[in-house]
Amino acid sequence: MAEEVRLPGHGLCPGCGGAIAERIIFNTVGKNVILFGGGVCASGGTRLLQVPNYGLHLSGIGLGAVGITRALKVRGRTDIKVISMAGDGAASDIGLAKLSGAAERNENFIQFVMDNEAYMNTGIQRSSQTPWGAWTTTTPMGKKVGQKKNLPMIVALHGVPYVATASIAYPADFVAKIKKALDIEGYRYIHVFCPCPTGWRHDTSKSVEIARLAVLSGMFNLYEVEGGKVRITFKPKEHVPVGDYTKLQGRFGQLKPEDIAAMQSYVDVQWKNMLEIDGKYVY
Amino acid sequence: MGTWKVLDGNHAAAWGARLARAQVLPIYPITPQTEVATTLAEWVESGEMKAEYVTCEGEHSAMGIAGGASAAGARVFTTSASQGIVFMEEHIWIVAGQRLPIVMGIVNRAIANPGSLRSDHNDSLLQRDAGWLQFYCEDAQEVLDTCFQMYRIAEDKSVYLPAIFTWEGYVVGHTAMPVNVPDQEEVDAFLPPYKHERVFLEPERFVFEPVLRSVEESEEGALLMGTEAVFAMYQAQENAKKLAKEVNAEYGKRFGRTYGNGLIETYRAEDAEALILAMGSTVGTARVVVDKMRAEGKRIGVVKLRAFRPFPTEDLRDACMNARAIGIVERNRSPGAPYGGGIVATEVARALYPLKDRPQLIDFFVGLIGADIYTRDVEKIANKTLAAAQTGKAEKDVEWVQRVEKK
Amino acid sequence: MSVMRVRKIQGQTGTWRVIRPVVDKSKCIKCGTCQTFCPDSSIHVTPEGAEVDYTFCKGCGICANECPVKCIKMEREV
Repeated sequence: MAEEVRLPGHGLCPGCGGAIAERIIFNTVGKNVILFGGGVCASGGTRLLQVPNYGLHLSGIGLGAVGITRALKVRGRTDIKVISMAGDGAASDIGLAKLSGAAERNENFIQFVMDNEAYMNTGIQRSSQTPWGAWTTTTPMGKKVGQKKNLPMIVALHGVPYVATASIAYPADFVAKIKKALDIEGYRYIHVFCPCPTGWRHDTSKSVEIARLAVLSGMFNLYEVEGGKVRITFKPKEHVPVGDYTKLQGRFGQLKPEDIAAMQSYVDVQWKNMLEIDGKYVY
Repeated sequence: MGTWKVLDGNHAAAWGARLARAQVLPIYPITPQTEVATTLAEWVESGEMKAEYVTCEGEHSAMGIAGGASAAGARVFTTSASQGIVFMEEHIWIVAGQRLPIVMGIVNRAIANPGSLRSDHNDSLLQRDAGWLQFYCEDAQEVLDTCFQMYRIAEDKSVYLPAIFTWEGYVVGHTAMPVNVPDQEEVDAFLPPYKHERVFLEPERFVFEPVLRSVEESEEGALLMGTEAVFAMYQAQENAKKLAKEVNAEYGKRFGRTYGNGLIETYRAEDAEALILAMGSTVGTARVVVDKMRAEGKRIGVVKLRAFRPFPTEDLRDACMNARAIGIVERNRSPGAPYGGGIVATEVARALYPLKDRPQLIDFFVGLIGADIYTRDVEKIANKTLAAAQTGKAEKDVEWVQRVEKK
Repeated sequence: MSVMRVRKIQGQTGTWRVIRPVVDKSKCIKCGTCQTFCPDSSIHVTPEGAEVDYTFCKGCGICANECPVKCIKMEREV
């Protein structure tokens, strides 16, 4: 049994999707890394990752990683990998300018965004990654304005070497993407879908199942953009209805049949668009 | 030895960062600091300076990047002013608590609103509670010398606090004077390479010790860790006080220049009954005014407050105890402060409080929001302070030197 | 080279449980799915089959839900 980089005994919720993602990431990248940032609900649990770690606060997305990678460069220690982790609210809202700046300058580190689709650590407030219709404490009637912001594509359009989406339910795909990213120089971005039983109001045992249904229904698509070229890395033979995904989650409990139908149309259009750009260059 | 160059404050600061061998430069341009940012960028691009320059997306980013770079073992230099300082405020507090010896040059500029591109001291004084050291420079030569001293003090293991050194934009930043620029070897002998004994991110140095605790146990003592950390910062500031004096003396031996005792400097103050207390370039004006008045037989002197953090309590008390009145040059605002005064008066009053026979304190608001401070303004301050010393009663506690009374 | 000693405090999160996973080792095919998906690094495949570390297991039930042969049952803690 290989030694785990992340020790058990942390304070993350039972069934936390982010906890699963963290394990997959750190068991792949190993120990010759410096971690910047906290990852999912970072301050909510004891940080038991056995890697050197530097942290700032919510809006400082990627900043410490920029400083660390520049310092390592000037000191001649480019063997050490630099990993940056951020939540979705941090990356997509308050820290977007920072994330964009690092991407635009092609700073040399891997930025992971742990997407649990809201500001979960502070008690389930909506972010621009919250899907349409979802309940959060700041959208108690369900998010009515805007769809989930397409952050991975926004980052890809900065012209960075590598962008990928990943899911805890598809660990082999996730690991392959991390390994590919580790071998590329420059700014790499991996957007990880992490179900949150506490915020999404689902059974703790269903986190992986829900992550799987998100991909199988088209709510979250697995693809990469390498050197500008899009490649869908997993194509479900047949998509399951969006309703199969939403019915397991209390946060979608207020949706009426016409809302689900609207979501289905939206998802269908997104998948059609994905198929059209599959194999094409976006920059 | 060194070379003589004609430099303004901004270029002197750039030379300071270069000779101090700063390794990572996360800088965002803002008036009146721009020339520091651009000069360093030119040197890094041309290869004259071996460093990583980060053209970051904002000052908040600049200080966050500075934190990461410092934690990963690089000597960091950054610089900003006014709105930029306020924008990076969050990270200013964070890196101080993280005990990272980053050095930042603040080119004093008023904070809006009301704002200006020109100077007052609010942007640096705002940091007095964050835990940073802060030293006020009178001219371009002092800017250059202080840069090296800041690294020496900040990186000392008895301190490990970030340090600010300031100079007024335009007045010092853009006004040139002959500056003696030490040779690289001389600076290297004074300032060894950066090494932090505690915060140093390098995977092979880390030994992780898993400790199993009960859920209740892990909370015990956790709430008091913060207090311990703050206490340690207070101790570090005390250590910096002592160290600043030693470093000043050593600098004098090596480079032939000292700045008072490192924390404060007195000018013609020995038998003075009135004192002008000032920070930054106004000290220079005060020296001129005092010379003129001394020639007339008036017993007046200058106290230059070089260090604001750590506040030189003991030295200031000793310098002021025999004067009968102190006129404070208040180049900052703090609406609602006691007696309607400013920040410096509050700090000075606290320092002098234990004196049995306290001098009077008169707070003179001057040079606010970019207003220039003329000799005539300082003369007004000097005359009113002297009058208070001689009569034993100041006209007012707080004077607005440059306000035009509406008729 | 100065060493940085960092203590990592592990909470006994097993006390959070209200249900616990019980593995039927005779049915376990040692595929490693439960180990891959445990958020708490609390179930590991051994030559005898999957074994739960009850010091830390929070009883979320993911292992039982994902097990391809359904050899893990969630039983009440008390």
